[in-house]
Amino acid sequence: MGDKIVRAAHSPAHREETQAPPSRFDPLQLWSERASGFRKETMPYYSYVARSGFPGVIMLALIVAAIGYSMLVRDVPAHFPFTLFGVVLTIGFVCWSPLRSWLHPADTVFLLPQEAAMSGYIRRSMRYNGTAGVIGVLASLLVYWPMYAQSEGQAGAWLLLIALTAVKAGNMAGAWQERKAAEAGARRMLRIARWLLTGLVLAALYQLAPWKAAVLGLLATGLLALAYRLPRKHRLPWDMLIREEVRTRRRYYRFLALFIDVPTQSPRIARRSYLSWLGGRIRYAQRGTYVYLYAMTMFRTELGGMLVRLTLLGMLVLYWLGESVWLDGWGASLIYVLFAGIVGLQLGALRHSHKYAVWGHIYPLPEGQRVASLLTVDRNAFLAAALLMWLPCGIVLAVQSEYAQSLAAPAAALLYAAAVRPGGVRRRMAKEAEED
Amino acid sequence: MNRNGTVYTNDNHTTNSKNPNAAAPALQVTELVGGYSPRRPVLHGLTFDVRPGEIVGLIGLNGAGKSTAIKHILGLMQPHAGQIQVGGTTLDRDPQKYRSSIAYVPESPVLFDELTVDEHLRLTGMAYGVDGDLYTDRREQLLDEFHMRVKRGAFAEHLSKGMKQKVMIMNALLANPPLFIIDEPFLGLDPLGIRSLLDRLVEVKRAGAAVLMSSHILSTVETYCDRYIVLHHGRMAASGTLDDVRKAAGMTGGTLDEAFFRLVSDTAGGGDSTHGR
Repeated sequence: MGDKIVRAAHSPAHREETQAPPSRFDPLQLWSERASGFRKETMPYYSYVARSGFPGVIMLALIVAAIGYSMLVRDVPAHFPFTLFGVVLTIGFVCWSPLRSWLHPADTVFLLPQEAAMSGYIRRSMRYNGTAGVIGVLASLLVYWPMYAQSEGQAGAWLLLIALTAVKAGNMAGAWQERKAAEAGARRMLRIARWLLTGLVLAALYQLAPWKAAVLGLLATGLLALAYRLPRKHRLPWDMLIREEVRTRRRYYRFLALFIDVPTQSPRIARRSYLSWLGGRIRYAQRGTYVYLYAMTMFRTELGGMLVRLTLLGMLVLYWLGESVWLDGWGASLIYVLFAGIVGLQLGALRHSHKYAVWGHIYPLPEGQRVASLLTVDRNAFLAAALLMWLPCGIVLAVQSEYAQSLAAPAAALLYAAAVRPGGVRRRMAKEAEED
Repeated sequence: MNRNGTVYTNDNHTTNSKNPNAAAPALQVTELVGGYSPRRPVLHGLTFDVRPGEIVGLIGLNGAGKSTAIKHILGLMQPHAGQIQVGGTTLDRDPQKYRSSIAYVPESPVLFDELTVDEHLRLTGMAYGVDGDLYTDRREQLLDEFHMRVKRGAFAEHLSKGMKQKVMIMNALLANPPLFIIDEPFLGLDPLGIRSLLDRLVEVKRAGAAVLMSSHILSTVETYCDRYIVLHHGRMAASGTLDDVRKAAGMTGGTLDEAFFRLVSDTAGGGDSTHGR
């Protein structure tokens, strides 16, 4: 397939990149244009992030974490697993080696003929992500240092710094070899091997004499280098890089979507059979068309995953609060308002689905049915999450004879879902429809 | 609700198919002027109909206005002038009846990312009010006929272009309304898929449904369609049977392909615009 494309696309190879008259293809210039293009594209959204109070929350969390950690450092428990702690703290920074290539699907047509000239382009990506990666490694080392200084580790700060940088470089090279592997199975095996061996080398570095760690590191490098020769490989893993780029962009936009409406990327879908079977239980009838569609959308998109995680977390936290009968048993209700509020907020995103779907105009369904169905799904989902979340807490409160405390919260949730919430969602939809 | 189940079964249509010309048109387009901008209309006064029990081929070069005409019929675009009737009603008068009379197969498949093949069929069955048992029967038959049984649990992301197209066609056939609007259906379909589609189109036509199909595969259009509409620069360069199209092209014999070529090659002098409206 690739062969055919190369020949077919040979003449317009870099028309999109260069101005007439045709000049030589300059991969580095293309790289810079695309990198700055992405910056320009996302920059406007960051002002909304800045205004949202999110940076404040992050700062607060960091300060709290720093205080907790410094207390731990000052008073380290006996038999503290220094090495394990260090490995867990740093391994993610050392091993995870993403690569921004800025490649997109059209490149398999227009850039493919220039494959040979792309090595400089990829090196630029490597340098870009490598710099950020090394900074991350050094930051994690900085955090680990006060702990390490109290352990039996024998390496000095400079030695650790140089060693970790070297291990990071090795991991980046390894991750590149994995991207080139043609089969998904091979990629996965190699990645697992790399993480395991890196973990071992890090442990050795934090615990053993440096020369021993160095020997182990060389052995691991040799072993991996041999393993990387085994799989069939692409010269340049176009598809892999394009997919990685799509994923990265989606992550950026999903984050930004928390603060402001962003152009939608195609959603990530998970089958979630443990939820989606419920969709099959929706009665097969014309009236239920949009109920079915919205329910499936909720189950299968990120929203479903988020609601499940939130519900489980809420169950756990509320159970603890209920069991300890915090604030005479009313504390749990207080936190419940917070959790239910977040569930309601997240669920609100459902109304943006299928707003512009062409089938909405084609299906022979009455005007207004979409909104009514959305409200049905929204209400049921909210109630299900809210009541499930309260269940363990409600039971432990009832067992401790705190009946009022046990029943007030779910009653309020019922009331809210039945009387308050639908009107709010409907109003917001009407307002958005007007703005469109 | 049971409309699809009772009215459009084979038995009820045999009377229609004996003499299709006598039946009221399933689609009647009258003096349609349309396009995206009122100042620059793309379609200039189209008038044609599609009657129950016939397949009408909509042909024209890229940009001739085929897809725009289809969008107007679907009600996705508002006509600047003229009228479109489906099943004897307009979209404004009875949107419910208008919409339930049409099944649409778009040029490029439009699927929901979060639904499997099976679930798309279920959604369509629900939306068009196909009776429960009938839905199950049709679904099973369609899955076999289009060789999609193994893919019934797959998401759109894991379907090839041709398979997505099959899903669109299966959905239209499942709804089984009196009018099918099919935009360039053969693109990406494998030979078995093309044959299944054509067989089924003949079948729904015999059962009394009307089909408006746009395509560039003129040999297939010539074989399967009863009448043709040749669009050129948004005007009707010719319409009617093969003989009518030949006549418009100033020919007495020859294939649809040859007649079409003469009609649309402006420089060749074939595009006899007096035959347009």
